[in-house]
Amino acid sequence: MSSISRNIVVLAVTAALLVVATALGFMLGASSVSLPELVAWATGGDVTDAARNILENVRTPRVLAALLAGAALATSGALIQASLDNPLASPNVIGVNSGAGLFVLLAASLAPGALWLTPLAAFAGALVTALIIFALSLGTGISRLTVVLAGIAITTVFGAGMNTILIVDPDAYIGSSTFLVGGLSGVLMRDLGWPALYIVAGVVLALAGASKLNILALGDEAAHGLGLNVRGVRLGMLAVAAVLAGAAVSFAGLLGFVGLVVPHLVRFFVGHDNRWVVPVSALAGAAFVVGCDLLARVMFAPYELPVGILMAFIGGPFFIYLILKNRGGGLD
Amino acid sequence: MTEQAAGAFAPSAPAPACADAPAGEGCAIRYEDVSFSYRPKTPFIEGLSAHIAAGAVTSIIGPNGCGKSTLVKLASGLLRPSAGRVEVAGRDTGALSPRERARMLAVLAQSSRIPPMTVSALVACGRHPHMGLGGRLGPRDQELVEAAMERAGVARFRDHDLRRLSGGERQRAFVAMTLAQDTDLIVLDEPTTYLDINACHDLMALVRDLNRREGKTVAMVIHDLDLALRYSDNLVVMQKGRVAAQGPVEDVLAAGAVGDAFQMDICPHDRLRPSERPGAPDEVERGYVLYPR
Repeated sequence: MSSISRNIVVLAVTAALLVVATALGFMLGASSVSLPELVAWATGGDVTDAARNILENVRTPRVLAALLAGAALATSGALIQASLDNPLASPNVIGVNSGAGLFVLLAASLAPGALWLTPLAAFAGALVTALIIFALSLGTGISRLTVVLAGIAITTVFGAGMNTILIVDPDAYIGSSTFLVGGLSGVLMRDLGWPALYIVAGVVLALAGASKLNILALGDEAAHGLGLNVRGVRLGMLAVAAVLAGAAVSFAGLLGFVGLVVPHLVRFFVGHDNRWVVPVSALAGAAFVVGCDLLARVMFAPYELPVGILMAFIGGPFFIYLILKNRGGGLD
Repeated sequence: MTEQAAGAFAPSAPAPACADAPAGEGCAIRYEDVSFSYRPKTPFIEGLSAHIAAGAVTSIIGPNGCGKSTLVKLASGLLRPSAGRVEVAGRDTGALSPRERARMLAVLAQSSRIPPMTVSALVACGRHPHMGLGGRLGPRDQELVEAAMERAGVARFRDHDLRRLSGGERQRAFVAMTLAQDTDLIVLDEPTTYLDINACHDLMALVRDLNRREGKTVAMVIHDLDLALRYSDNLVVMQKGRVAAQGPVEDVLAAGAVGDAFQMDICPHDRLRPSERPGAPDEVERGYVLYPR
């Protein structure tokens, strides 16, 4: 099978998984809805009031939030890994998520009730952190592992900042108990409007820039020789990654590791061509978070885990695996 | 060694020169009174003038740290001179957009890492300066990519991952990428590093063949003196950030500039080699033996 037909199959399977995960996400939970009821609701048919209430008020915002956060974070991870040329990088590893989180909590504390401000603050925080990391990797020529260590330092400092805000001003963020680990239980439809817009725009820009990321993979000097504006592309793509991560953090909190794990899994199946990695990551990230959120809801029903905890359980060991796999692979 | 490599020992064509030509004419690259420094107040190159003649193979040689690769980076626009002017085909490199420049000169940069892609994907990258916003290859691009792979002898590896090729095969794939760029001028920055002796000669033979058959102008930075002397028409000898000598190989050698720069005695060594063409007389093949002074 040629690589193109193989990638088309992977894309189709991922899309199918996404549809199944989304359907299950709507159906299963503390109180379940049957498939015929879901189909009837989706096609405008007759459903009981109870089922309609669950589907519209509980499941729709939740599943939509999971879809958006997953697509955004996985795409963001793919962009960050490609633009920093660093397999260990992702929005949470290099501190972009915590930058967004800190600014979200600051905004919520200083201007409570200004919902429109939340995604902007998240974006600003994400961008500031991405720029710090970019400047570090650019100015000092530090190794890829050092970028990750710098990200950990930034995450620690910003984490302390977030904890301080939550202690000093506990009302700053409703649902703050799940904000730091990432969770989707308190998300309302009104939280999703602006971020959805940013995320759709971000994914479109990521798709448009994917072929340039392939040129970047040749190394800076070779990419320059091929007429690529290396610094411009790298900065532009990091900004798009920051928009995506910031938008996701604004409603989902600090969801970890999806941006790290998903692009790697995707590359395993479709190779390193970013024209495939970016779209498949978006779909797979959405399916992954919807699936994890579903598990987090049903594993200990009627209790539920914040999805971020479950994802950290998956992502942490995967991160260690990546470090071991890359040992001697040029990370220094 | 392959047939192609063996065939490359034919006597070289007279080297065109551009030293005395009016600005831009006959020159593929011209450095005019160029200064450059990596650190403030520490000039690395000062008032350097040099030229790479169009239609010839020119090697830029010199001891480590003498500024050879800096010359390449100044031509490719990666570095900007602090004073003076660098021209490619008569146009100031500073005034060219990155894409315009990439349509005029193809650079094979030194790279320590191997991108995770197949040979055909790598060669297709060479079409980047010619592609539109969508980044899709048109039929003409496909044709040129195919021709470049054939020309560099890597078509049979098209679906192979670069990381699974030998050093020589991989370097040929990179040369194919620069060919797909479809420029008159190719600049190679230490193309033979990490290659074994056969792969070195194969690559040099390919480079010279591209010059002889397709009229490509080739400029290369190269460490291996023997390769530089055997396969070049012209030399630019660098020493401590300045040009110690430049011109046709035999002239520069005769002036002793190469030996002085490297502190080596260079002894030409000729031998007769049967011609590849049936019935043709034996050919003189010249190699060089180097002795430290």
